[in-house]
Amino acid sequence: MEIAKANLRHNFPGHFAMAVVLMVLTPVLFGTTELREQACAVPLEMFFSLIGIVLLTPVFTPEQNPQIAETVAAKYISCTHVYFIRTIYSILAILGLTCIFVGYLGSQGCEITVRLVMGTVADGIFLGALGFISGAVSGNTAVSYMVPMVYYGINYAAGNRLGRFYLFSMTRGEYGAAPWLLGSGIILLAAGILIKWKKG
Amino acid sequence: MLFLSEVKKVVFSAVFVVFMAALIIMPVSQDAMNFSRVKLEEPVPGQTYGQKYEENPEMIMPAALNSLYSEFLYNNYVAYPIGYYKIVKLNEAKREQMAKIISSLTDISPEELLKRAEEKKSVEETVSEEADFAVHTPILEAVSLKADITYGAFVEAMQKADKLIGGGSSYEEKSLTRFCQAPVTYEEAMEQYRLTREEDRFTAGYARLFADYMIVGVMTLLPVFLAVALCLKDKRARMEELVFVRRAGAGRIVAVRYLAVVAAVMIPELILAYISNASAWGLYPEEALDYLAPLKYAVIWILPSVMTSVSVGMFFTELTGTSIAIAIQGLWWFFDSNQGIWERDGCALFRLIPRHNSLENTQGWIDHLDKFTANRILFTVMALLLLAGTVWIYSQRRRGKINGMQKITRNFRKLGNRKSKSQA
Repeated sequence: MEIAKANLRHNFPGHFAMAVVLMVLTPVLFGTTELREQACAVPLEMFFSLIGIVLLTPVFTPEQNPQIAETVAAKYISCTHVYFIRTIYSILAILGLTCIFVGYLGSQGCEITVRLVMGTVADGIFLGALGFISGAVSGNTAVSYMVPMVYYGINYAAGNRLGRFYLFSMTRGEYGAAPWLLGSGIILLAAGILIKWKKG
Repeated sequence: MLFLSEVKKVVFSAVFVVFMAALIIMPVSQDAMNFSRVKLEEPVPGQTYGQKYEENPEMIMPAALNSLYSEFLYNNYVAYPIGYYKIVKLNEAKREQMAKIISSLTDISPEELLKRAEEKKSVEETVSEEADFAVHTPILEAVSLKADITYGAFVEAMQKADKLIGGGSSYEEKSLTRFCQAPVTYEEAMEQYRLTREEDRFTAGYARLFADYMIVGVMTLLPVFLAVALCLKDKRARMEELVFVRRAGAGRIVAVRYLAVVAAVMIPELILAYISNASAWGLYPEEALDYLAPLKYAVIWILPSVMTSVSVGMFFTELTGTSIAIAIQGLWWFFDSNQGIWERDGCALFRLIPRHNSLENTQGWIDHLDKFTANRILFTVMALLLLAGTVWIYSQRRRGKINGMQKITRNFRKLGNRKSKSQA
């Protein structure tokens, strides 16, 4: 609990603030009034889901500073434990912000369904997990943000050629991608923590 | 030597590997690496030559009016304020204003229009892949224009309607031609072919299309990652203090790093541009081709955006010591990337990503070359100013006067302490 508190106080506020900025910007950029389910997917998939990159990618960032890494390595509690706690509260933040934003859409007369919420969370976690695993492998902040951003860009270019891993499938009325994205996202998160644990 | 050492740092990094992967994937996914099956043929009489937008008031006025009327009935307006699809619903006060605008163009009173709108049920939205998620609002009944309405007055009323919707609608003055599509004539098609042959010398069209895909997909966003990674590298490796005491001046170190990133980004782009362009050379064996076209468009079109992206990366990384530049450039790219595609009258002065997504339309390119040139000069100057700012920040950090986020957080802490002291 103390670890979570300390991390929430020192490492999390900046990233959480950025995610809130993205959430607040969404209704400015996209229509969010009286939308049917499929039209709701446009702001949720194409912009709101970017909160996943902002929240999950920086989990390993503090230790990428060698001075912090050395200090942390000397501590009794293992880094893996700390990474796990950070991952959990980042996922909870994605869920929380998604609920808040979806609640807002509902209050604007939009048609909100469970599969829409699941698809949005799956997109966010998958994008974030791409950044997470890239950070674990490379130990480089720029690479960890670059990989999910490139994947996001490829989705515009390649479209549904990405099959089950197409991020914007709900805007085309297809809801089959969510379990694949969510499942892969969770596997990538687990693999990221495993890699960091192996690296010591 | 310093330049080569910095280039090595950039090229032998994980960030560059990802950059190269994206650089290749983007044009391949858009079929822009192989134009060997895309030949620009001389038109033959009796064929169809496509459609064009035309400013014909006789056709525009009834079509635009009925589109607006239909959207009014359902209170469901489609707009692209920053290039992304947006549905706008007007509140009661604005609906009344819209009724007055439509009434001023027809013989129907605002009260009658509002009554008709109340009778309609909410619209069934259908999202279409082909139409960029456009909502198709069925037109239930047509309305007629007032007999004495002039095109000037009509355009003015449409501007008011667009303003009520929040901008980016089909009723903007520059977008009204979308309501009038006419077939391209044989003479017009021949004129385009003449321009393709004499002005573009065939290869320029391919080079422009390639540049368009590259600037929107890769070259405006990804260089910032390379710049941030390079600037943070010394800090991460704790080499900053060692670099700070070197004899080389701040200006030289920053400028060499800047050139290293720009070169590392531009050289592969140029190689790909030539591979793409060369795929079309065999289609025109008897023609005098412009073999410098890929180089020209890489320099005048892509380079200023790359310079800006690298400048943003270096400036904010040196200023804050964090990777905040990625968020800044990322948001800028997101807001800007889809707007240029709608600019049929030439790009806006402050457009980061000017677009010309066409193999032909040479006349459109020539007509708006002045706006494009002004835009690219502005971005080049802006990039150089940011670079100058980076040199200044770097030299201040060297002297220990600025220390990135530490200085900022220290100031915040001071403020906090002052507050708690006053409370005590």
